[in-house]
Amino acid sequence: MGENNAQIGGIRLAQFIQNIDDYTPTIPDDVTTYHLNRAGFDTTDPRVIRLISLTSQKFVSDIVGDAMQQCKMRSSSQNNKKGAKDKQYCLTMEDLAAAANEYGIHIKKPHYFS
Amino acid sequence: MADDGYRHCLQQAIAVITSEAGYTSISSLALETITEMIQSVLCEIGRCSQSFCEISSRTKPTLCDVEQTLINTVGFTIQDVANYYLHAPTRKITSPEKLNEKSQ
Repeated sequence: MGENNAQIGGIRLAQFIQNIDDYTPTIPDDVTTYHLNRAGFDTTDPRVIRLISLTSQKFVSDIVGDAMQQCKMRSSSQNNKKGAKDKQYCLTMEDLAAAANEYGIHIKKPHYFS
Repeated sequence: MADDGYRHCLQQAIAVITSEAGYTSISSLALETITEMIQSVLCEIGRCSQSFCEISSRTKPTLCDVEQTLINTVGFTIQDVANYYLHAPTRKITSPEKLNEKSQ
């Protein structure tokens, strides 16, 4: 197998990197650059910035997705009689803390901090 | 505060991500917590990438440094990010620097 043909699970890394060159992440490049600069990270390659933006988006998206599952399970057990008519979901600290706990992030806030 | 604009921008991005996940609203405490988390992740990725780069006797971090960092800090491979990219939200948010340019 040649080095150029090395594939990572079906998607070529080079192709993915080329794709994110044209992609605008939800977190703007300037914001990511600002926070990276605060940590001493300095690069001129926009692909690196976009890769990090995408990663942080995925990080939040995974946690929020888990929180959503928790929220749905809780609401379905509470509103069993009424049915699932009310589909207004609100992300609360309760769901967020439970979801983040699975990722090894233990959120502890004082009760007066709200 | 100098980073208020950036923080506000991050909060907008978090709002987009949570609404994509199916939420209609978010409590302010949860929003602030996620903002702190995302800021921490960004800083940690930056710090760790810079360390990998300096260990290799370079000054500018490359994609390989970031790839190694992602595995070490958040536990994602490039493949995971590539899979997420296929269905990532496409809504764009104007950065505070561009907003400043417009207002001037």
